[in-house]
Amino acid sequence: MFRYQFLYGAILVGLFTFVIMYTDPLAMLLFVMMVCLPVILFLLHHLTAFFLSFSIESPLSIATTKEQGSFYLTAKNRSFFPISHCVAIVEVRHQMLGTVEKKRYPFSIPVHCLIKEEQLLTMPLSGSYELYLKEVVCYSFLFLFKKKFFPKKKTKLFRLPDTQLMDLPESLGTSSEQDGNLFSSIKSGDDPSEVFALREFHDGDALRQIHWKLSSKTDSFIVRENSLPLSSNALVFFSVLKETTKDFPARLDEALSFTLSLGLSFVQEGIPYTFFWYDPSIEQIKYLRIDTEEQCYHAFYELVSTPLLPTLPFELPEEFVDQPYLKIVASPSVSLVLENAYEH
Amino acid sequence: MDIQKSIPEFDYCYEKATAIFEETRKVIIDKETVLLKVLMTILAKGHVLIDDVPGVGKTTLALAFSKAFHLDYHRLQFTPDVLPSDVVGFSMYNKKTGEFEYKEGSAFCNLFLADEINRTSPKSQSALLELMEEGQISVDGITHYLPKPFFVIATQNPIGSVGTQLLPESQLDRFMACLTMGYPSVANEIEILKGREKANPMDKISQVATIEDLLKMQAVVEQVYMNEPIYQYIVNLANATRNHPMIRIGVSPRGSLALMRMAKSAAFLKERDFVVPEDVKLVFSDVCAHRIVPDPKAKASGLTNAQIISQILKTVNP
Repeated sequence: MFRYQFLYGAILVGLFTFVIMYTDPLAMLLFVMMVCLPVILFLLHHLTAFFLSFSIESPLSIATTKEQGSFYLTAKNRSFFPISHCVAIVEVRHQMLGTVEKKRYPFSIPVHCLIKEEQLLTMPLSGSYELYLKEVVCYSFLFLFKKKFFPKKKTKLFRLPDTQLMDLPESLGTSSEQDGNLFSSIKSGDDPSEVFALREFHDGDALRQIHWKLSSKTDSFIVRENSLPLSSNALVFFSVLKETTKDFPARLDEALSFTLSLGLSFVQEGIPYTFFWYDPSIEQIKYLRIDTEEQCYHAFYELVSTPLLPTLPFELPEEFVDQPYLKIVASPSVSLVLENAYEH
Repeated sequence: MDIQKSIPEFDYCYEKATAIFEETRKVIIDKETVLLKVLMTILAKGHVLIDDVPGVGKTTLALAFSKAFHLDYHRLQFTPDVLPSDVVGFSMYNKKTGEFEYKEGSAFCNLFLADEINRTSPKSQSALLELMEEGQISVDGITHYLPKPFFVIATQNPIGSVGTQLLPESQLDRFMACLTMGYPSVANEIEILKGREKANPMDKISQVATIEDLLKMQAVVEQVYMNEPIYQYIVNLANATRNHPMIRIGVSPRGSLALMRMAKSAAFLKERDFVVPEDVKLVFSDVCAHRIVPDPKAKASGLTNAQIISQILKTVNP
């Protein structure tokens, strides 16, 4: 953009020299016009500023492609003077990691209109990205002047990790409650109160499993498989701590993928669970009871909007002290730790 | 220069439609878009669902249209104790004649206002919806046909309360359009209050069309021309909803059909005998937003159906 200013300066000097050397009235007129031009541009540019407004929005707040999301920079020009060159400075903050990146997006604004410029954003890690439209710089014609605007508008974009349904850990998913009424739909167990499935007798099956009534009606022995009772008190604790190592972002990404996959697996199995994590903004543990897929995603969005801390400044609440729970950690690698599990 | 329309009686029907619109505007203030869209739905032989809070003028709107068209109008407040027989009718034994007589239900009219449909049991809801779909009722093995034309304006209160059952998504598909009225602006609300002081504004409405005129208008709308690229555009939009990552269940072929009819109706009300892509864009959200089932990840993030539909409209080009 300095070339325009240099060019203007060169023309001005050239005209001045011509005027001095030849005292030509036309050259003098041109020189006066060129001297007045910045004044006119300055006035127009600053008057137009009153008629400009800017905002940022993300119509689909979830990234639909793996690593790229989109958002809109909107600019409204109620004047009849175009702005040929603007630069929007957007701060992109990964809410969990706390990292901030400044991005510059050039655009132009025609006369008297509302424009929505779609901009793409690369999101290498899953999580919540807060986009803060910090500053918009509008340049006048020939880039002689600039005017800064501070819209201070924010929007959010979520990038979801890849998920994969998993086999749930039996020790937490199962229950020894005698009067429970939640059973696994995909695995058999030892609870005789509910029949999981009926099948033909195989070598190794116990004689007490034989369904004598049905077997008398068929040519082969039919056995009943008992159901696996499930716990309705599953607890999952997100306990990833912030680290400064280079590989931590990748491990965090893996931990988030694992967390969401685990949650969706619970929902798929029909097992309600309680998900909790420490939220430093409220200085408390946040609990969410999850029964449906929508609640699972809602909890995930809330989790990724929470900044991570290097240590967890709280103690486990009393009601969880003696209860087994699953703890998701990312150090030294992403894993699931079963806490408070006792052999009975 | 007047361009002669290729559809017979187009100009006559357009004048009547404009007259209806102007007549209803006398009572419904500041809601021209809603009035136009209700009129579009009526002309497209569809039913309307108004999803809005109480007291914004839904009953007044239905009354206004019934008066302007001189339609037989019934209203039924759906409460939890409303039975299907209240809607469709029932057979009653007549001692004198010794025979069973069929007593028509509330739905036997031209314009049926089903108020707060979400407050009644699913059985009563489905009785009405079946009736809307088929245009006839079978009671004790005898089929009774509903009068023609027949429209339903149903209302649903979005604010949940004990004992309410919002219509499931699969049944919302029966409504051609789902609209909201919203609150009037401050200036218009003052005008409404002043208007009610002197007289009932409903008295201002006079009949400007007959049932025969309405049937003619519907026939004209059916004949509005739609060329191949517009059909392709409608199908592309429907396909986009079926393949969108934020949508679990997209628009059905019934929805595409409704979109086509509403687009024709929109073209007619703009005094055109052919459809342009802008007509499809105008009605797409009203026709399709209530038909889609968003993915749980979209619902959890607070995305509304209207936002997703609006995004699809931007990405799919005619």
